[in-house]
Amino acid sequence: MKSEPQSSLVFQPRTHRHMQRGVNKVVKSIRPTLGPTPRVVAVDRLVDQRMPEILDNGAVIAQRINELSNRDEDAGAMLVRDVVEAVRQQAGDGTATAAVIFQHIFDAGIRHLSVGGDVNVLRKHLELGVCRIEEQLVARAEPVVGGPDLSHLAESLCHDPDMALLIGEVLDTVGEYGRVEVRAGRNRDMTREYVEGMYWNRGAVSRSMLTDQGRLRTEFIDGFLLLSDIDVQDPRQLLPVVVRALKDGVKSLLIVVGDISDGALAFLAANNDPNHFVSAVVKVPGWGKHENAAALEDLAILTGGTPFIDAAGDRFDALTVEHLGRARRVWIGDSTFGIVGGRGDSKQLLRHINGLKALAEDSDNRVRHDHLVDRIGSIIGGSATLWIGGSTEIQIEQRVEMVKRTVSAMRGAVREGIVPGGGTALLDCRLALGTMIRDTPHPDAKAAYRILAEAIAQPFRTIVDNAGYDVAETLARVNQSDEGYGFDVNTGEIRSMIPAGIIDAAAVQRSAVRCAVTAAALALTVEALVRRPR
Amino acid sequence: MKPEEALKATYATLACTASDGSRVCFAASTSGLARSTDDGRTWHDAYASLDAQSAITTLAVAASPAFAVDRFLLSGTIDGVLSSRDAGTTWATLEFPAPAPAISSIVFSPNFSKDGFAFAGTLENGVYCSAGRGMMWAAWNFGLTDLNVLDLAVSPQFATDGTLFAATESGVFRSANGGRGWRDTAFPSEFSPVISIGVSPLYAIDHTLFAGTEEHGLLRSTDEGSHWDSLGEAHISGAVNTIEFCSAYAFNPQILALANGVVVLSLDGGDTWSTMTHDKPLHAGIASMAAMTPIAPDMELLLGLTDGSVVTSRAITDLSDD
Repeated sequence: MKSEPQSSLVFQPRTHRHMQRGVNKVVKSIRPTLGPTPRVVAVDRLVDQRMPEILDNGAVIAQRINELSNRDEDAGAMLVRDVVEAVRQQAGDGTATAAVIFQHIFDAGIRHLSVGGDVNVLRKHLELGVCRIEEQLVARAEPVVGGPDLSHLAESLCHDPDMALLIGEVLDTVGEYGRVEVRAGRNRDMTREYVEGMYWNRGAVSRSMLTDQGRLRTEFIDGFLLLSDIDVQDPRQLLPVVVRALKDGVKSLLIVVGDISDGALAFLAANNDPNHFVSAVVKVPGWGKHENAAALEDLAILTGGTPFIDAAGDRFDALTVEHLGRARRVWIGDSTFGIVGGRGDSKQLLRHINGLKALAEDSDNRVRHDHLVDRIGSIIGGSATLWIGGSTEIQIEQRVEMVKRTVSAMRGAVREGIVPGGGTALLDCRLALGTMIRDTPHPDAKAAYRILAEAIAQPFRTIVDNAGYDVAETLARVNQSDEGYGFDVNTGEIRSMIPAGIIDAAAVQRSAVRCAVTAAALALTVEALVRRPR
Repeated sequence: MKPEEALKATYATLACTASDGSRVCFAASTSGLARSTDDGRTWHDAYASLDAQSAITTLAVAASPAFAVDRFLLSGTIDGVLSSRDAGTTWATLEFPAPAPAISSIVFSPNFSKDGFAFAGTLENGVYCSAGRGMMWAAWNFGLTDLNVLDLAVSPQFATDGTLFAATESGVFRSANGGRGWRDTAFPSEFSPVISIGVSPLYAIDHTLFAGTEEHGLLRSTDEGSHWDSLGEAHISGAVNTIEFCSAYAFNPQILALANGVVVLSLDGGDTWSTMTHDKPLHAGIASMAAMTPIAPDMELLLGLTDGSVVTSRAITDLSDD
């Protein structure tokens, strides 16, 4: 008789020891990427024979570590992986910072527990301490004002002055919610292109409707828009639209529908007359009913139109010219369409944008948050495309990834401000933890705050170490300086970091500390590992 | 040409500017642009050299900050911008992206002679910027969600802070990067539309700006637009369509405004206001105004009246009235 595979169990002290080995392996691979003098990690490719991926992003490096051979160690490795992924999703950067903080708390926590510490008290006070650190970071944050500040911030994130200058200019122009697309360039340069107005990723249903066949584009001046999510199968559904348009002198009409049949398209094409009435059709932007409805709502507010909703039983028979949206300019391409100068109520639009911003701020769900930011970016007007070139395909890949990460982190920075960079802001938070250590009589609480104070010094230590300086000596010099002063690894000097342009995004630092501490505190409470059969 | 012939309009924008020791006055209206070199006594059609077939409706006219030297002017029409390099004697059409928009306001960079920046607010297309002394114009409307721009104002320290403000139907927008990108200020929406805007000459120090609304009087912000307060409710109500500052504002924080057809003056940076009286009766309401002499409790004004005429008036403030 064949025996069933059995689960195996691992208990303390082996649980923590094995997990610790996994944590250390992953953090060791991420640690060299921290700071302005990073080293990279080469990752073998699984699917083709090209040269290895060259990575300097902690989250991507961790993602590439699919599984460690020792399954107990793998549990620890996956904890780090989740932490850095959470930081990447929340803030776009700060993954290496989170990794080194996590490692220290986990190591020091295990040491404290091994001498009889109470894990639950330790966890509770670690979490109290991180709240205090977050308060300190928020209090120390200064607003980002203007292009030069943005460029400094970008440089602190991407460590490439040219790239930073470009990103700073683009975000200064399009704003924190502005739409920025990053694409691989065709040559070695990095360039940007601005697009006026709002656009959506939906092109003309039929290319034959595009009047400029060279550029695959049609443009309507003072154009009208019919907004709907109705599936048009029968050409007769569109008859009232064409009749109404001709009666009311509508010269050009963009028809937004859920779907449209070839027959209905042919009907519109047959009625297109450049002297009297021209039309083009796009499908309603977005994927799924929810996104479709959101896009229709945005378009309606922008253009002052009234959408025809299938689920509400709306039909085009009831169409009047007042239902149509209007815009100074409407353009339709083969993969996008856009409007410039929508004729909607500008006050209502401002209220709508502020409402979406509030929803985005309150949203805990990353996907929903990103969708809201995309919507705001679409309707706020204007977008930028960054074309990132390089000498080799690998370099382009790496730079595109870097630009995406920097832009994402900078959006948070614009919202929450900047703090002294190079790990200095976290070092400065130690003072508040010192007060907490003095004020609490409980030994486990004191231990928690001490561990935290040491942990938030780890990013600074790692940056200095990566740059080849003596860590203890440098830390001693910084400790003797005023708040906001840190170590500039490029010059080897103690400087006031913000005026020197060495800055970090407050949102990134806050997210990195929060994710690292809460995850490490939870990991310390793990008592047993269960290996299930595979 | 008599004023009533030159200005057959109910709406007029006025501008007075000095050149070679003499003053040149302009009155923009739906019938064109009139020019006077004798303090408004006689007016001539400034566009005569264009030999236009029909009236060129003009909504804005502005003189270069270095007008005494360069004699440069821009006028905003319903079909784009015209320029003059000889103090308004002859005019030329400037290149604008088609279709040319209706220009509601024009401002120059205070450093125009060096940087060549000028901005044009439009009624439907947002803000256009020219970096080449008005020769070429391009729309820069990133973040400007309301493209109905009714007035523009530029920071006196534009060369260093790159700041300008746009008054729109839905409120006030601010650009801190030379007009490349715009953000809405926290202007209370119940007070909009905003039809005039003025930036304090000491903006770099006091961060103050004034917004004249269409129906709700004058508002002031002392923190670059983050918070707004209503001003002078006893004297200022209704539409405020002109805001002018004393040239020596640092020593005399005097502000002149036209509120609901009444000229009002503040001697203390907008905290208190007084109504100005005129030395002669006016036969119609005041639609627009420009100071001909430095702003003071006793000053010469050029007034555009609601019947389309333009008159000069000596305005006096009763300083006991605040």
